[in-house]
Amino acid sequence: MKIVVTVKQVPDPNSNLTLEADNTISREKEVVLDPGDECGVEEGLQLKEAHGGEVILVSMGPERAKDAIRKGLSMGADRGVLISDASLAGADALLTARVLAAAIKQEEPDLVICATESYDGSTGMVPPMLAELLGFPQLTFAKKVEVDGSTVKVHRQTADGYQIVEASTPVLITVTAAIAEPRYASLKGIMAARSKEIKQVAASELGVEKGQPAETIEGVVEAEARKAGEVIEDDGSAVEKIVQVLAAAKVL
Amino acid sequence: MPSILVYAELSEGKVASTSLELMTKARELGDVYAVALGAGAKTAASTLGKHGAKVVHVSEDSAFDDYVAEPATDALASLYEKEKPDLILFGFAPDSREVAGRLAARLGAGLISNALDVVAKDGGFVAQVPYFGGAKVASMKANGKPAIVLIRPKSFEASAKGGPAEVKQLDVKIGEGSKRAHIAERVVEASEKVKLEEARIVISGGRGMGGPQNFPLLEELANALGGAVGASRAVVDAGWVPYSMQVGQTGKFKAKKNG
Ligand SMILES: Cc1cc2nc3c(=O)[nH]c(=O)nc-3n(C[C@H](O)[C@H](O)[C@H](O)COP(=O)(O)OP(=O)(O)OC[C@H]3O[C@@H](n4cnc5c(N)ncnc54)[C@H](O)[C@@H]3O)c2cc1C
Repeated sequence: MKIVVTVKQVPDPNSNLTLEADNTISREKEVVLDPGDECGVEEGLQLKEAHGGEVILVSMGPERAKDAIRKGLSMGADRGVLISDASLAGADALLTARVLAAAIKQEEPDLVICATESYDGSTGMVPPMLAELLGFPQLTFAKKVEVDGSTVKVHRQTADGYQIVEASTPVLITVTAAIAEPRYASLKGIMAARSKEIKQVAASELGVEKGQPAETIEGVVEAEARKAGEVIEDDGSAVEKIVQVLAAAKVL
Repeated sequence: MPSILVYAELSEGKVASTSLELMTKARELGDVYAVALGAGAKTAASTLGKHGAKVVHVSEDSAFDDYVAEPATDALASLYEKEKPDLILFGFAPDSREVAGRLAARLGAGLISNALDVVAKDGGFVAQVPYFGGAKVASMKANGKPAIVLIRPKSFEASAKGGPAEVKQLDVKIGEGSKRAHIAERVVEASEKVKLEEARIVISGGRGMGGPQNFPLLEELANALGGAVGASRAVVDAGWVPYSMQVGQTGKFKAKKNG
């Protein structure tokens, strides 16, 4: 089975974000492989271990996004593809999906795995757009994936439980973080990743034209401030204090 | 007057509360029509009329309930060609998200996701979108034709204002090629005692709870107070509790007036 996992490099969720002059999020900061995509890589590896095949990581981003791919390779993925092009900076979700679709088509995968939404942009729109552009059905919000021959079945998380949704390959899957605990890269894995291939592709080679973005940012303002919570230490009177707080909030 | 199309998500034959909230906004922006797909669409049309839709396009084809996203995308793409709305509004809810993404790609229009509000400006639309995990808010001008905007739940208050809508049968044939992601089974895991969206009191837990084993403590407290338990994105992502319990960013949103 040929499995493509899309991987995005994002600012470290544990660091503070800053804005560039054009109101895009600065990428000069610490960057990491999106934690959601780490789960995608893990699921891809588990499916490969169970059914054989190959796991290919595809990313669109600046040159340094190679580090995110390398991280996935050290977990055990086979090779990577990076679409890197200065003209793609500030791409919107549709352009991102077009670029990824063009690169993924060349791989003719059976399965494409994405995270449900990224940690920075969080539009959650790249996967359904990608499925549409690839002409694949989409199995989404998966907390469990089962493959039986050419049938792929997922447990799709819903508000009150889950649905069992199935389709035939090729399909696109979005996974939730409940799918699998990402493995740590072993020292051996890290060493092996150094010699694994990361193919670099220019947007022009894919024939994707950069059109007008879906949105133009006109301004950014501070959100209404949220009041900080109060921490009540338990010195023996905590219960009483909490009851007071709840009573003041008319909860009791 | 701009024309606004609202995608009314149905859940068990009823219009989802998020979709009714969108109607309040749509009425402010222009002439409103809605589309309702699947079992219950005709009944839904009268609810949508009461919330301000002049016309509701309906189809009760079972494909809309049995297959994910693709049949609804076909229906909306065909409706778009006929009606050419200026703005299409979706709720930022799982089923709507998938349809919106596919539709935007098919129409080559792009979209604005995760918005808190949308206003008319200079003959177009500008959406307010949370930035930096909600610490800031960006104003984004929609460049797409049509403009497609996804709005987070609880951004507006639903209110009935309108009469009966004209119901139009949607003339669209869902081909076999769109019947692919098949919903074979629906499993209900937990019957929430008090629905999170409707709870007056939410007891929310995050990483500080130490682990999933401690969430029953919050259940007890919530039961005692007649509330519901919520959870932060971090612990939901960590798989401690199901997604249905998420509050805050991209989860369930508490309207300011609940208290
Ligand atoms: C706060 C904020 C708001 C934004 N709002 C909008 C908007 O309303 N409309 C819009 O069109 N754009 C928007 N953007 C831009 C958008 O985030 C970028 O286009 C981004 O490249 C892709 O979208 P995403 O991060 O939201 O991806 P999502 O759709 O949330 O990502 C889901 C998954 O898709 C895959 N994926 C996404 N991007 C890549 C990539 N570059 N390489 C490999 N895999 C990838 C990953 O598996 C990822 O986990 C916004 C950006 C920010 C920072």
